[in-house]
Amino acid sequence: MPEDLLITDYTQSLEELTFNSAPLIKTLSVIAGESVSLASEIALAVQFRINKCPPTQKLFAFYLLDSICKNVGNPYNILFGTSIYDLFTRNYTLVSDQVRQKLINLFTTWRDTKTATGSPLFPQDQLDRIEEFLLRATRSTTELSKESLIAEIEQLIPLVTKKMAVLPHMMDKLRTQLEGLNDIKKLLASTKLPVKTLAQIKDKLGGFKKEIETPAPGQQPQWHTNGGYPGNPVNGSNNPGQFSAPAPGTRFQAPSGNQLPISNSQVNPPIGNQLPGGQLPANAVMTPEMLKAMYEHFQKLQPQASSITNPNLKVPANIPSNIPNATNTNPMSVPLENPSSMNPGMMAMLSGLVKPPGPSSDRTKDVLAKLFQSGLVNPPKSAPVPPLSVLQSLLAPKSEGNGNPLAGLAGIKLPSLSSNTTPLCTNEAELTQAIDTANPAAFINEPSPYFQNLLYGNRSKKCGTCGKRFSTASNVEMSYYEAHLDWHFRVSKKVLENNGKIIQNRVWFLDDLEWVAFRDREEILEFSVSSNRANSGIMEPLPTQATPEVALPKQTYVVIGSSADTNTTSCYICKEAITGVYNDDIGEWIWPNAVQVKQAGQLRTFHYSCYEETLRNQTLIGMESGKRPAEGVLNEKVKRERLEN
Amino acid sequence: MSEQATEIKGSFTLKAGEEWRVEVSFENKVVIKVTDGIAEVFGTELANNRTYTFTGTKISVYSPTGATILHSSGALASDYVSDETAMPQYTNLHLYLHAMRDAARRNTARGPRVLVLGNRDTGKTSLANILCAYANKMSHQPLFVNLDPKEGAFAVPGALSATPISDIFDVETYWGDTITSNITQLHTKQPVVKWYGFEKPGENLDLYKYQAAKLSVVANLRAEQDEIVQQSGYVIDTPALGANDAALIADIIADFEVDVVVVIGNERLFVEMAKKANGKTVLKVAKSGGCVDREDVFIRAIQHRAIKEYFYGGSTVLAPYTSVIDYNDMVVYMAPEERDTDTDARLLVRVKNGAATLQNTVVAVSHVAASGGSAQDALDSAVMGFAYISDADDTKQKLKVLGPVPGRLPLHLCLIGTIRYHE
Repeated sequence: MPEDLLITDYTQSLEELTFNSAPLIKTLSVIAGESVSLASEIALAVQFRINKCPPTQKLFAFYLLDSICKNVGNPYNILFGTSIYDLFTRNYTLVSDQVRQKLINLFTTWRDTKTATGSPLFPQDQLDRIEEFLLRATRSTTELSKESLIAEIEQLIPLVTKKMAVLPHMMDKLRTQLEGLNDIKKLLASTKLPVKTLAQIKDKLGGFKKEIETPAPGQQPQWHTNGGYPGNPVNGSNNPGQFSAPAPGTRFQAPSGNQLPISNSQVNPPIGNQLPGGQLPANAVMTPEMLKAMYEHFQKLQPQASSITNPNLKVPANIPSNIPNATNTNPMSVPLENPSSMNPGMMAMLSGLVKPPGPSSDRTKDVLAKLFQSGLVNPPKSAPVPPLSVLQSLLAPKSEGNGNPLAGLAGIKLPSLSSNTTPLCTNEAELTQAIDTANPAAFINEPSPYFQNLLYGNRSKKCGTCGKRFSTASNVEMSYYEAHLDWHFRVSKKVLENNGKIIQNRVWFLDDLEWVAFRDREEILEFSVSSNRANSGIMEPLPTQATPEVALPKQTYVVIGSSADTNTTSCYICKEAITGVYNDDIGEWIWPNAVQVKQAGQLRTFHYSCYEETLRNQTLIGMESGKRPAEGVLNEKVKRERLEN
Repeated sequence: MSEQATEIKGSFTLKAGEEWRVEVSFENKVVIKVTDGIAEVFGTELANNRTYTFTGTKISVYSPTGATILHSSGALASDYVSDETAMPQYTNLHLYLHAMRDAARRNTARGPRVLVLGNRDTGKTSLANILCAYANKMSHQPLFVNLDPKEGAFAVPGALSATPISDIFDVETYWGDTITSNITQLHTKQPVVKWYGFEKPGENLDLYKYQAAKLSVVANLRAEQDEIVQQSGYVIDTPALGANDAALIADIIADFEVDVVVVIGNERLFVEMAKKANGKTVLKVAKSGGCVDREDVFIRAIQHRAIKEYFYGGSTVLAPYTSVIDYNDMVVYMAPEERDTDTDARLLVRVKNGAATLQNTVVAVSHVAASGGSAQDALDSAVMGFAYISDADDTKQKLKVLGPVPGRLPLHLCLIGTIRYHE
């Protein structure tokens, strides 16, 4: 109990970290140091805070991480170390320039800090990858020309072709990539693109080149694309090809739904911050110049593309450099007025690289048409900035074959921003989705650092009676735990009451159709299933007030057991005698229109009508007074005996 | 489940990743209590500071994190701690399946249907148990399908069954109680049961295939209608099958629409299966070093206990009822002992009631009333329950039948096989 409270408190305190508060950071570090037994939970909470807090506050959470790792060290530096690259790069892309500079400063201290044992603070390969990432992210882009890019593509094409010959099993994917390359080449040749777009394309090509030069992903566990784990750096640092793999968690998602990781207003720095001329990291943001160039290109193509775009689309001839957020009531015209809305389009264009082969003869047109379309169907409401990694992921190997959306994903996914679940729970989903299902044979033989968290860490509440585990992540889940304890209590009470007095009998198995209609959750676990279970995948406990319909026995006669010494009994309520009769159908002596209920340790017989009436009244009383109905009648589940049909 | 007053004498610490392998004979029992850390028996986590009593079993207590365990000094046939465990691999196998189930849940699709294959005594049932226990721990509800008639999981030997694992297993009785046991200290499970009546598939392959196929129809229908079962998939335990049983394995895979085949420690079978993968995932896992050969005597004793528990209860005491039935009222079918499979398509024939055929047999009672029912009806019905014919009196033409439920045994079509029981 105190452990859970501690985590809850800690999570709450993290939310107060909205400014650079040295005392708070110090306090939270000390608590982390004193609660090493809860290290994994604390680490998860901090990571969650970094990922979820507004961009303006991310830096302070990073400072906390830094403080914990440097002052407490083991096990925190190891826990954070496994995914520090993801955490750093993902959040780096979401913050303002000023903060980026601070993060870079922070990173340099990581690089230079050694632990007590002389090893790096974080795994070396993670640090190397961050460094490489930062180098790429801050690289100058002025010398780019589309000619050099075309030349680069022309170098790549033979490589891909060669690889197709060597790796026939990857043929489909490679062919798609080849077509994508050709598309970009055509696009470059036919269009004048702004420098920054060229820089992005160059970046992608660089990554793609490395990927194409490395062995096929299928030949090495994709698990390692995440950078390896402590003690398990098999493919970590010496394989440059790994770097070009998708930034974990920001795998490109087709711009068809609202799951785009950019569609959160919280992650956007003010757009003005992002537009001081060409001083930005090249691939961080789409600028008006880019948009303008793209726009002009669309206009040229519009006659061809009009079949799939709205012919009413009106675009101002001049896009002002300081673009206001869209307030236009016509949603169809929003995208081109709003720079952010171009981003899905841009992604769609680059996604031509991984797009499945289509029948279209003019693929350039196709790509741009798709760009148009996707920009139109998915207009973000505010002005999000595309995470660098979204673009980075475009050239990534895309999952093939089994259609499993998890395939090829190695690393922790960007949390779904619409999710309102609490940290630990979200993390379970993330961890689960980080499992590489594309290559199970490799996966099951790799030691997995995640398993204990998945199997035990996220379910910290353990039933003292049976060992079943429960999550404490939300009130709903706590209510399952309480309902479970309640169930144990009732059963123990029943067993105690029954002890030696009533001998239980087995009941029959169900027939096929009854079994098909049987639902364990409702009938055994006594849960009702909420209407949104398909989304949440979780159970709702039954209301604590049992309804009379639930509590009433289905059958209205009582078989007189062989243990009964008399054929006559009396109703416990009206005290009238009930006399046994022989029932030919079941070949037993029964008390007709009667029920037997265990109350206060005794099996009592009632007239069915008396019992039902009392039950209803008690339920009403219970509801009126706001209390649970009287113990005894309602909470004792009536022993149901299923007799032959 | 009852708290035993047995004296605790020994105590030891399991390090993370170690297994304590224990064999307890039927004459002895061992009481254990976990005082610290996490310990689990075939994937089912033990509650801390609670005593568990084991008898007539060979189990492994595994600790993923380290644990302190107290145990009674009960004479153990064998006990040792090993750090060579297959558990990390099994755990990863589970995590892989978990990711598939999770994706199925998010997409309202079908979860993985897993077939576990391997030779005799390679830990198939243990692995199936682990996979189900872990799945349940992580809020899934896989359908455990037992196709090994020798085991008789959730029923008696001779039966095939399918059971959604909606709650924790009862480690003391291996599977735990079914809902038919009435009030129990752990949540019960609700199986659907089909009758085969023999211990090995080879004894009557046609009947075995027929019943396995029938079971798959019911299971698949349940999965179609029960979202959580559908999304959690199946875990299918099998009898010892090898590369020579390819046709039977292919049938099972087709019937249950298996997606993932897991082969334990049989390279040849793995290669054969991988060759014919045909879109399925075929995986091999190591046989656990803890697997022991179970002598036939031990298996007999386990089977005897399973039947006894069906009638008299295990942790919960149950009262069976004895009734006397005329030979004329009892309609019993069984597989023909000798038949020419080319010309004789009959899977069941009517048994001539008599001491020679019925004495000491375990009888599967179908849901179909005897009057007017045919052999086909008996075949197509699920098992309603089991009865035991303790005496067949040829002179009086009367059967003395032990039934599980109060009252006279309903006059339904009955099926028998070679499963016998002696009180």
